[in-house]
Amino acid sequence: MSTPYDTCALCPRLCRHACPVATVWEPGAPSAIAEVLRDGALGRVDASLAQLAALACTDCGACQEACAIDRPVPELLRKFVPKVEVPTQLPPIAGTASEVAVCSGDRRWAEAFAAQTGRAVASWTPPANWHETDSKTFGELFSGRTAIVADGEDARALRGAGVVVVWLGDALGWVTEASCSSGRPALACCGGRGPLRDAHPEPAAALAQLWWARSGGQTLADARCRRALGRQDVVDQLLAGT
Amino acid sequence: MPTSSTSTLDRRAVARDRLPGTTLDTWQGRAAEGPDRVIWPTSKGDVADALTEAATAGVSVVPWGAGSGVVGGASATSGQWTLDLKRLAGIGPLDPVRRTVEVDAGVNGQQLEDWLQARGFTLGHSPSSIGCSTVGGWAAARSAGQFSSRYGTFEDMIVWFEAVSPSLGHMRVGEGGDAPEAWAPLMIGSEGTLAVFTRFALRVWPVPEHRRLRGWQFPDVQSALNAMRLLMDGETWPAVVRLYDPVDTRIGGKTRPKSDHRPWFRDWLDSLRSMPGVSGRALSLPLALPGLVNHVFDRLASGVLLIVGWEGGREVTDALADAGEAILREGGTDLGEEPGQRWFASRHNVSYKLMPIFADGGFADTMEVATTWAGMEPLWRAVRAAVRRDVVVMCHMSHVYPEGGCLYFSFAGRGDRKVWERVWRRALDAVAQSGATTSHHHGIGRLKASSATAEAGIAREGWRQLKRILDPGGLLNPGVLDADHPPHPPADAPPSDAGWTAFAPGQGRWPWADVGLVPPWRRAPWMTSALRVSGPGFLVGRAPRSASGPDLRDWAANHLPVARIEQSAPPDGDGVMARLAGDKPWAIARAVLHADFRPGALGVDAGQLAVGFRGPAADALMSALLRRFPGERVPWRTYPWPWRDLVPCDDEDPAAVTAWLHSVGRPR
Repeated sequence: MSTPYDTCALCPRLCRHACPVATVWEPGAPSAIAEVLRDGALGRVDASLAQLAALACTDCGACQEACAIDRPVPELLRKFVPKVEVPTQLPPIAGTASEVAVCSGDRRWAEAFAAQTGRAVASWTPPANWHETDSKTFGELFSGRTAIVADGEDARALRGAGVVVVWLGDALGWVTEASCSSGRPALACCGGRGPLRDAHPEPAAALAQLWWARSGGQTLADARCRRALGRQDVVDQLLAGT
Repeated sequence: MPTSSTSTLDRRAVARDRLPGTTLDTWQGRAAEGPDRVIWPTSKGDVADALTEAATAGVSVVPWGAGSGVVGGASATSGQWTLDLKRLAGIGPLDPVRRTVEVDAGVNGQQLEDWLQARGFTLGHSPSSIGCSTVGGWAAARSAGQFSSRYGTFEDMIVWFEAVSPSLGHMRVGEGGDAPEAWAPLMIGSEGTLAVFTRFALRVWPVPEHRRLRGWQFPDVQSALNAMRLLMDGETWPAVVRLYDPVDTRIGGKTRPKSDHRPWFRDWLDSLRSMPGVSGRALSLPLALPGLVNHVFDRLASGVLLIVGWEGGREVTDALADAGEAILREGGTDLGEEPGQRWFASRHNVSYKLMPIFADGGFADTMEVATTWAGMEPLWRAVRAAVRRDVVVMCHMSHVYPEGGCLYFSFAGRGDRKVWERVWRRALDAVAQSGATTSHHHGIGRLKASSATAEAGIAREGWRQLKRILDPGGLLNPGVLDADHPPHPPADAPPSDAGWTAFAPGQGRWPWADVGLVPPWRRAPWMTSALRVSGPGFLVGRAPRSASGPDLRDWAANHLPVARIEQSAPPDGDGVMARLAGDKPWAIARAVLHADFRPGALGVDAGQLAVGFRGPAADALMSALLRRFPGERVPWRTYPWPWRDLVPCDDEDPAAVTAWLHSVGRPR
């Protein structure tokens, strides 16, 4: 019996250095995830384990570029994820503020931005398929606010909805070193590798370098972990160093 | 105690390295469960704590980098803890004057290289696993990269390293070290059995400003090997020398870059499909009939492809390449730049493209062995003959040295683990009977432990003695390297320092006591590295690199009752020499080396630096040298290599002088 994950699961992993999560967390390597998904598909491991493995992927797409046998790795992994989480509606923006941290919108970052800038910054974590949603919805949701975003796709969608956008790389400059250097090899930046690189290379490079420096040389986990609410636990897990 | 996990997901992720036998197991539903615990140290203190706790808990420890090994050296199972070192992830500082970089053991190889290149430097280490391996893993397995004939293999790149052992705790070996430097060749390549690497200082090079890379066709393997040997004998220092055997020339040699979206595997299938009797069949047929396929390929074979390249500073690169290409034209046909560029673009991809073979019910594997120039062609024939009935087999030859080189066989076949094991047994038997070395750069692991143990003979006592000093309880990676070493020696095994008095700090007899102070990179051209040990009647280090993980040759030379080093006369009669003007000879010498020149002779004559070159590129190199540095040609004279004279030199910043010393020590 074969599965879509066969060749990917058994590969020596050229994708490995490209994956921002795998750099610090071995189960996050695309082929490691695929191996568990494969065993799950074959009934060799419990489905919940396969689901947990799938959550490690941040869907940044870097592995696709690296794959030596041109497997659609992100697509393969993504196919499994909707079984775990299916966003049904746009979540509300947490807090009342004129600026909203998107993608990096977990409370910690929003609070850090707010503390450093002296301005009110709320947080908002988009669902997985938010780019496919009617942009007017975002216009209403972000009415009168500035969005702080990391990703080219996010920025495009928000701009399409008339939302004023600030790059996360620029926003990070507001943050004190202490507030973003956790001392743990936790958050990753895919800004230098993912779609942002192609759409807006300069902010992507600045973002990657900033995060790299701030982490004390550690590679960080992906800001787009937060793209889907269900992946927040993965980020938290990485932050906890587990 | 550092952060750790017992979760299934974490344990599975480090259960196995990339030994194809375990991949085959995984494919067939026998996935390993992995260790009992995964630990993520973030400091050398964490490493020490983890080792202490493991000893208390009565479990052994397997160090883990990125798991790209293919010999089973990092696999772990129940009763073991895995020490995942990737959170030792600091890079820097970079010292552009000394040309060294400090780096933690857990740093991913590609990320280190990216970091260096962004600053104008390169490590020059380019194994195909660079994207999925770590610096610590490279040291553990004595890795070799695709440009090894210029930059050396990984042990040549290490200035010092830090490690933690169960008995001695933290130590530093090498420059400024507090442990005997003589331990270095035994610890590098010890595959996690003696200590856990934590940090390194590595030599770096400026990003090469110029590269010349071309393909050459030769009528057969032996004629190409002759040309390769002449390149090395002539001290032309090519960066890349890769010979594909007739089968690999038709398959691997045609590998295309990824951008073509066409794996070599497809080319292979197309080649097979075009053959009489195979047309239109699926992959399962050729894998099921390897004898036939090998026979057909042999009949179709016409010529072999040799990729040769030089890189570095433009002037020196051109001088060397001009001389080297003149040698190649003697017996080869110039195929132009395209084959070389094609190889360069896909140089990291080939090893990753074997998975469709597993997906089609087969298996694929690789075996890297080494021998002397005279032994290479016979070894190639012997291994092919040994396995051709079971697997389709091809070979390329690279990692060349003045004494010989590495043969890298690729196998593909059908069958279960029994077939896979039979292929390995037959292949390794052929290697042993040919007098070659069991392993070149993949390491020993569990896969080759028996053959490497047999090959090393009593020289393995060198590793065992250090094991008794550093890990008397057998905590680290049991079962790897030494087939006869008890997997779990009793925890109360008494430590011993017998036989190690000669290795007290500062008293090490490095490198070769009997032949004077010859720096490592200069010894090779006029000295074979085989040690003939009489009495027991075996050779240790029969090839350019030692057989079994740690380099046991120096230990054997110093400790075994009767040993001699085979020594051939240095080339002479073709040298050119000049004396360079200036009253700071060592400052000039450092500038000469930094300008990419690799003199065959160096010395101080009446307060001035004398520099000599040999081989077919000597005149061109000397002309280039004298264009940069004022001086005059003088008759050739052999100087004793000024290894010691550098240290008291006071016309330089001491740190820079030390750096220069290491520059001299650069490899081959």
